[in-house]
Formats: sequence, structure tokens, C-alpha cells
Amino acid sequence: MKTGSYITPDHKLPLWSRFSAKLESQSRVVGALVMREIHTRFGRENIGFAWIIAEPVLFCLGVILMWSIVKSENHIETPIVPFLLSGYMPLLLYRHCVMRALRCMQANLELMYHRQVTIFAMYMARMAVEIIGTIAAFFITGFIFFMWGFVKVPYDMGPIVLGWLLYAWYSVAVAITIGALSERSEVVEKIWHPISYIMIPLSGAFYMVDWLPKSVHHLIILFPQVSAVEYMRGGYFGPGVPVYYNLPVAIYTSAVITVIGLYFLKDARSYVEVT
Amino acid sequence: MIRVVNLVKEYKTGHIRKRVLNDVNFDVARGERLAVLGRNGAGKSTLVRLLGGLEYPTSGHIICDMSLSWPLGLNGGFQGSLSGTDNMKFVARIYGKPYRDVYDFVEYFSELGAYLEEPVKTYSSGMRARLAFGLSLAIDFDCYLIDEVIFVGDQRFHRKCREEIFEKRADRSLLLVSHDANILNEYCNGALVLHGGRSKVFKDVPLALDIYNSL
Repeated sequence: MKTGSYITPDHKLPLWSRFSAKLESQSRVVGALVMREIHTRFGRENIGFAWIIAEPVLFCLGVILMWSIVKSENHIETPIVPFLLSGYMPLLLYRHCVMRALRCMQANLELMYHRQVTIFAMYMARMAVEIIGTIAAFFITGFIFFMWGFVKVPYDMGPIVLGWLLYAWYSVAVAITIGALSERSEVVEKIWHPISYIMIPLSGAFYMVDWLPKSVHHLIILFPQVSAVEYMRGGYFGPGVPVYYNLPVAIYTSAVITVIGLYFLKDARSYVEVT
Repeated sequence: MIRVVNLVKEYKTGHIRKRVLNDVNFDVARGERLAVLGRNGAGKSTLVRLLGGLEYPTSGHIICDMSLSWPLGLNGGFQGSLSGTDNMKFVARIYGKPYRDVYDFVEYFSELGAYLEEPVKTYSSGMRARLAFGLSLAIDFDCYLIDEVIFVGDQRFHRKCREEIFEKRADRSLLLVSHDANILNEYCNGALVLHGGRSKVFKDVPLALDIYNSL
């Protein structure tokens, strides 16, 4: 029950001009938060933002190294680097998004002193940094491995980009839901960690659906992450490699989670006391 | 002008609802510099936090057509791990002010020099106060919400504050939370006394101080 109000003179303006003024001020705030995020997340020392690219490159090199040592039973004919990149990097995005969303407000309380810094802007800034950083890293890493000869030119760029967008959407939806709930109760954060580990096999990162028994294909692609990754891989490998996905379910699920997330996010502010 | 109408704020502690502000009414006109007086727990900070938009009123209205600073105290408003200049950049961006102008003013006003490149968490309270106040003056608000602790600086800093507030910004408003009679007599031309959740406005600061002392 909230009957109190804080009225500023713009309440007399027509809706659209109030909206555009808000939009302008919020985009300024998100921009400022993004810059701040980059500074605090990557620092200005050593290579800064480039870490987000260095990390997957190191990971892939590590796995390639292991692979070439083991090598013996080379029963997988799927090219290893594109398979790794298309599985690992989206998973990284998903995990980072949720991690950054957990107790996001608690970590930014000082900034809430400025009234235009809204919880929504805060989440948007954090998500934007993760999404842009990871997708850029994906393509740059891909290009680096292309130069080294581990990666071919993709069959079709369209599904790769669309698959990424779908995956990012799903990640943000889950992140704002879990994040908004975590502002209410610490229990959410504690429970989230075991759940997130259990969910890793359902992210589609470490296998192709085709490797699984035929009977579970239609079930596993109900998970949006699996569908998005498979769709992406379809774009890279082309018709030679069988992929399975269910885009309508993925889109529908993401939309539903987004609505739930926004609903909880709307109320999250009142659960946090700015000290 | 800020108009506060029938403002009520309740907090829930356990099962008890505690009414901190109970039907508070007052106006702050342009150029009015109001002292906020009250014993500990009378709701001074709560009032400032409501005006600053950090909390929402339980009922009642705050009608405000001036730009209000964030509540200026020793904490809040800065990211401790970032340097003074990075914090300035952030604040300049969100309020849409050109960073160069903000930087020039804060550097002149705060006299922090090379410290501006250090993380804010390493600052002393005096340095924090100088940065916060300098920054808010650089953004240029119509009304400043100030906690007295911000005047922790030395004489030189006080002189600069007076110069900025009285000479260059005589038309600006001020809400100053303080227990310090000297500071209030010096800075304010009106007083708001909070007691038992109610408020009363006095035009005469010494009179308000007398009443406050007899509470």
C-alpha cells in the first residue's frame, strides 16, 4: 500500500515528452554506469578490458593442448575449436550475467544516492557490459583462431548472430529474475549456486544433441540454451552436421521469464535500504 | 519551491510500526536556508532521505520543482574503490554536465590536487566532504540537502563554503541538518524543528534554537 508520492514538475507534461526526457536521462545513466562497470570490473592496470578476450583464448588453447596430448582415441570428428567456442562462450555469458546480477544493488548502494540511478539502469548496464564484451570476445577469438587455422569461415553468419541474441536474451531474463529475488533474500543466492551447477549439462555447452540418444532429442531442446547453441552451431557447420533446436519454445520461455523478472525487479528497490 | 504536505513515514521494526514522521508540513522557497533541528531520532535524516528520494513516503506528498542535490554527508554518492576523478566523471555524466567544467571547479574548490587520482576510500572525512560538496556545487543544484558533518574542514574550507553559498549562490536553497548553533546561526535564515513526528517552522533561528534546547 503506497499512497505517498514524490511529484516533480514534469508530471504536467504530456506522456510522450515525459517518456523521452526519462529515456534521455536513463540512457545517460546507463552509459555512465557502463563506463564505471568497465573500470571497476577490469581496472585500468595491465590489459583491462582485453581480459574478456584473453580469457576464452587461454581456455581454448588449454583444451587444445590437453586434446593434443590425449589425442589417442580421436573419435570425435567435430572440429574442436568452433565446438568449444560455441559451447563455452555462451555458457560464460550466462553464468557471468547471473553472477553480476546477484545482489547487484547491494554492491551499488552508494550510487543509489543519485536519484536517477535506478535499479533498472544498474541491471541494464551490467548486462550490457557482459553481453557486448562476451559476444565481441567470441568473434575476436574466432577470428584469432581463424588466422591460426583452427576455424573455417562459417557456413552462414545469420544463425550464429541470432543464436547469440537468443542466448543473451535468455541469460538476461534469468539474471534479472534471480538477481531481483536475491535482493529480497540471501537464501536465493545460496540456492542458486547448486542449481546452476546442476543446470550446466542442460546448457548444451559440452555436447551436440546428435550425440545423445534419439529418444531425448525432443526433450533436451526444450531448454532454450540448448536450442540457441545448436542453432548457432548449425550456422557455423552448415547442413553437413545434424543439429536440433526448437526456437518457438526458446523464445516463449525467454519471454515468460523476462516478464517474471521485470515484475520482481520492479519491487526490488523497496527491499533494499540505502544506508 | 519544495512543498511537503502531510508527510508520514513509518518503519516496521519486528511487529511494531514506528511512525517517525507524523503529518509533517512545510515549504522551502527559493533562497530559503532552513535549519533542520531535532533531537536524536526525531526524524531529521529520515526527512532528508525522503526529500533526496532514497526512500518513499508512507503517505503524503513531496512536491518539488527545484533540482535537489543528493543528501550530502560523509558517505554515499561515491564508489569507494574508484578514484576521485572517476567518481567525478560518473556524477558529471549522470547529471549531464561537461566533465571539464566539473573537474576545474572541484579541483579549485576541494584543493585535493593529486589525491583526486587516489581511490575515494583512502580519503579522510575532511577530504570526502570537500569532494562531495565541491562536486555538488559544480553540478549546480537549486537546493542542497546537507548534513552538518560536511563542514568538518578547516577555516579555509569554511571560508570557501561561505563564499560559494552566500555570495555566488544567494538565490539557492539549503536544508541543513545540524546540532551546532554556531553553524546554524551563520548559515540559515529559517528553522524547521522536528519533535514527536511533528514539525514547526520558525523564521527566527535563535528562537528556534531556544525552543529546541528546551525540548
